[in-house]
Amino acid sequence: MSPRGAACYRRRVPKAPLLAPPGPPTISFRWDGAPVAACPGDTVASALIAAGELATSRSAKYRRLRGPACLHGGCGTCLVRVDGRPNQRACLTPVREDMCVEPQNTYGGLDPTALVDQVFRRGIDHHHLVVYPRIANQMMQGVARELAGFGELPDAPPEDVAAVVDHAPEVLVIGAGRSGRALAAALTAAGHPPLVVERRAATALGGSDLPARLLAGVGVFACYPQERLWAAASEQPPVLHRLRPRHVVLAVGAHEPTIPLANNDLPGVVSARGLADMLEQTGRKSSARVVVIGEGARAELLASTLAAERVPPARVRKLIGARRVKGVQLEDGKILRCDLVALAPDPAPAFELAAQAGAPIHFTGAGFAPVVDADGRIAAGPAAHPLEAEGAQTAPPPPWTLWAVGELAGATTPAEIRGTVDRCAAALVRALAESPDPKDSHARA
Amino acid sequence: MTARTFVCRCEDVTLTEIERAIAAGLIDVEEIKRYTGLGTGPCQGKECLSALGRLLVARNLIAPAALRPFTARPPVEPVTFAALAAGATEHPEEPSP
Repeated sequence: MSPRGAACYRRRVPKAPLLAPPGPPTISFRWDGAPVAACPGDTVASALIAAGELATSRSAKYRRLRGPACLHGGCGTCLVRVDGRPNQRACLTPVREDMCVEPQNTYGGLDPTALVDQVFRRGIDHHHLVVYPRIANQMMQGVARELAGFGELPDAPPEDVAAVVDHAPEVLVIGAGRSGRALAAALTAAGHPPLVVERRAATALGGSDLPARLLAGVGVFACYPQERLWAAASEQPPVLHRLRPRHVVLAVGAHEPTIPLANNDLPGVVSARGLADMLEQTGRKSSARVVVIGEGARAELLASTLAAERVPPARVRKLIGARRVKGVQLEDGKILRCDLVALAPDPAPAFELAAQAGAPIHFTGAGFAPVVDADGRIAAGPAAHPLEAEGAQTAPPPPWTLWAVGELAGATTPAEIRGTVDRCAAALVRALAESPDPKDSHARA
Repeated sequence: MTARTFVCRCEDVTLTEIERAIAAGLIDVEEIKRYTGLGTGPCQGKECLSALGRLLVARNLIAPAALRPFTARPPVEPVTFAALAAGATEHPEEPSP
């Protein structure tokens, strides 16, 4: 049996809407066979949450319902099948008329595999579950393979052969969030317009301050220092971008880590930051009852943005609900009824690309981050190839300078983010003046 | 539904499983990853890694300065085999000296 084959025909009882649209919905797509109304600017995740559809998959092991959570392209539980292509992030996929969106890894509303969560109340040691006798192990292997996969293969091979595009920008900025855009504007004003690469689609970006040289819908997935290469790709259309910049600014922001609370995986438990950004980008207004769980000024600000009550994690006994979150039970037994729970942890810098580029990494107390100087410059030495530790000693230094701005550089408030951007832009303009681009001088000559 | 507290939702690693790993004497991110599977799902640790780091530091199991993340190997963003294969249709360029 195939989980949710290609058919898109089911009827479904509409749920109470949670987010009001900015105007009359003009787009209709199909979710699990039933029509969902959406607005231009919506992602699949924003349209589904707006419609009260919070669950998009079941988890690999305990078979619990899961849905969009970080709303930021980071967490991996909003993966859906879109027009026959598996593992598309609902939170990054713009809606299109008539698109067919299906859940993954679930067998429908009365999924019998959901019993796993009930049967194994004390947990599963999947390393040792049904290892003996051998015949039972072989059967178990088949069951595990069926349950633990992530999506089915695509309906068809891609129509187009992927194209390759090479870029050699003077300055590459990775990320077109607040800090990336502000830095691009500062560099452009100084006569050095950077190439900006952003994984979100152009339609999901909004704002009037988009950089002139922008690759949107393109995710930078790797830095290969020994190949002197940054690699990025888009899936639709399939394009591989090979980037060989002279200066690289990482404006990749931060992840929202989970807060360990009982039932913190329920559909409807989302990132407060992700939800606030989603409302800003889509122009939707929350009509849901939201409870923010978090501590400190940032959580307080997010709660006020979301017009939500805020409770610190230490006061929470557990989140309640079965198919979706219904409330927060406090330690004193009191229950706060709600439609969405928004987690507001201290953000953890998205250090991964910096680490691949050879940056020294340290633990900040909130998460891991590259070590930066006051200007955001990262002293990345020759990066060690994990399999060639010996040879790494003689590898040449990478042919670019590396910088971090915004949350990756430790900023949390808008004023701090602005400060990292201003200092980085000034230092980078100095560096550009000291070593002009040979390509540029050649072109002028 | 059974009440469970998740540290890693991708691989369904609960706080109870982390406690077992700690009880077995494991205090390092890499060790706990190998023992529990934490961080090995589609998000590759973006949601759980720092949550685990905070937990280990809060319990005084490891000093912050000694804490190391697991290796952030490519790809940090999903990429199709089609796009990767496109880069292999020609000989790689020699890096300029």
